[in-house]
Amino acid sequence: MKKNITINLCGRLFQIDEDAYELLQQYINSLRSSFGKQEGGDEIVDDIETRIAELFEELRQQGIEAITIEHVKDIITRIGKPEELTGEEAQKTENKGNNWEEQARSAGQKIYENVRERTAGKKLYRNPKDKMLAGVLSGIAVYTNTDPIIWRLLTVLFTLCYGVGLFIYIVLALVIPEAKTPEQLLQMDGKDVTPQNLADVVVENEKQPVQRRSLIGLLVSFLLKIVIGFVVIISTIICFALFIGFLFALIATVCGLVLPLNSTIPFSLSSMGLAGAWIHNPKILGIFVIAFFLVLLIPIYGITHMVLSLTGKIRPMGVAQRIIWIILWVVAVCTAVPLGFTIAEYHNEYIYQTVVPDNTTTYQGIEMSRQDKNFLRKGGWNLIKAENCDHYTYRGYYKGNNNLRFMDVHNENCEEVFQAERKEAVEPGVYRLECAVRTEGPGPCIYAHGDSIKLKSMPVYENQEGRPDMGWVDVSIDNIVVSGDSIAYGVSSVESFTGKTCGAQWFSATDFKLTRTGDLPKKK
Amino acid sequence: MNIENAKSQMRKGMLEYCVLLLLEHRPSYASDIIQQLKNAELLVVEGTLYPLLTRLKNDGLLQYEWQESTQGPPRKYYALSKEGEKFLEGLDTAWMELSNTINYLKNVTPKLLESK
Repeated sequence: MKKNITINLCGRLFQIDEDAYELLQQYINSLRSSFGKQEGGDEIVDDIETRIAELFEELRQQGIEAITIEHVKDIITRIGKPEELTGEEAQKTENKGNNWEEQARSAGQKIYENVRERTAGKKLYRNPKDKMLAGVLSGIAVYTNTDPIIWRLLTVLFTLCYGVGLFIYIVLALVIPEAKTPEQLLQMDGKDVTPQNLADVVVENEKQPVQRRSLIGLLVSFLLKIVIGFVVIISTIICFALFIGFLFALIATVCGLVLPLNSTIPFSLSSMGLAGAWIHNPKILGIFVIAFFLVLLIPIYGITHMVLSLTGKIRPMGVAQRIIWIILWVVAVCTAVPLGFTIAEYHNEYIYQTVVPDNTTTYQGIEMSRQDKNFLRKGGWNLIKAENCDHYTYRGYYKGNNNLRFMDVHNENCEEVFQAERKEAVEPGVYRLECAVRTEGPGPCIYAHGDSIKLKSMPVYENQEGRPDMGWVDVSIDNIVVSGDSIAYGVSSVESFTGKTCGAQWFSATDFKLTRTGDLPKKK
Repeated sequence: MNIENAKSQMRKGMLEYCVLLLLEHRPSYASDIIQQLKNAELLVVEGTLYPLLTRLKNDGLLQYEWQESTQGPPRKYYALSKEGEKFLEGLDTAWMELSNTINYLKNVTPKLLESK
């Protein structure tokens, strides 16, 4: 039983089923919208309406009282769909423009209209009706009104280029939703969502499984289900792991901010390697933390959403939403990774300075330049004595590298009194100390302090212009016996220590190297 | 390219000439023309005729008058205008030429090939 209404078509009354009426209405509307642009469009549609009235009249004379949807469908195929009718006229009006500029413009217009017409009113979905994997490419084909084989070939081609095609395919498969409901199937094909169309889709879907349930089809769908199940399980695990990671990161961040900077408790900023960044540039640290949390959170959200929508609890995300999340995640990764490296650099600096850097210029009570101070601190040098020195380090003329900084003391009147010493923790044994030195005059020594103090004078620099080694000489002290657990070594120009009067305006030393040459001599 | 496509292209090209021919001797209304064209297998979907008629009318080749009908709504009876008659003459000549060319090509081509 169907609801029936009476319509007035060109001054005549007809009985027509409601669904048939809706279909007819829609047909005439679409004719109007496609003819509306051209000259005399309304007249054409009026004429067609008259024709429909005539055909209805014929039906009435055959004894048909109410017009059904089947009749309307017949009439539509007889008269033709809007695109069949307008296409022809469009071709004819096209040749009017002789001017090539106009032709070029109309060609551009044509391409634009072609694209618009092909995608008009359509929504991009994965096509479940014709799919090889996830239906992405046939969905694109339906959307652009092209043959899926083109897209499939392109994908295979691009997959050969380092798997780019496959990667894009997977991204698209995640981004584009599948057309599941009859409504979505209609939107995919660009058809209007009308009761009639919906009914058609439902009928078609009921037919579908009967046609396509081959053994291979069953096998493939079974495999697909296994794959989907597998993906769900894996995703859940990843999601869980990410969530745990997120919790830890959150706890760590909070603890890190609360705990003192140089504490060794796990979760403090310094134990996590963030103290350097905290001191150097707290802003960078803040941006890094936000980006880092986004990198963790977005996949958690996405995977949870996906799992829930696969199990049918919530609606899947729209295309735009997915794209926004993916872009946001990529941006977060691209922010977090380089910042991570910067922070690691800050941390290294922090570790090597071991203490909070300051801008003062005294080192162990002696006033000096910042470079000197940083060098001595980095090298772990202890100043035993430092009087009358113009500077403590210098740069250049060492092994051809003008940028290497080394220890260098200077006084115009040979009055510098300098002794610097470094301690190293070592195992008992016999050691050898090597280093490179140069001095302007006699006096300065290197020394090693194991069980006893061993001194060695620096050879005096012979002032020969153009010497490639710039006066550097390798010196060493052998047989340093260490029976304790540490050794001290260094340079000295202190007369009371070396027993020699300092007669040098300057002296330099670098590249200290300690090697173990043997065990302790056995006591007899 | 399939044969159906080629055929339909030919028919489309001929449609205008055929409609003018049909209207040469007696005025007709759309459904009449459709019936005749269908009999001659020149028309696939009826709807293509209406834009064509409207265009010919707007170009001044056709004119129409309304006539009441005993069965159904009033009808537009189309007839050739003076201009339309001239236009048709022009098409007639063109068709003769075309037809001659086709015949010539059909019959003469094999001989030409032999003589070479």
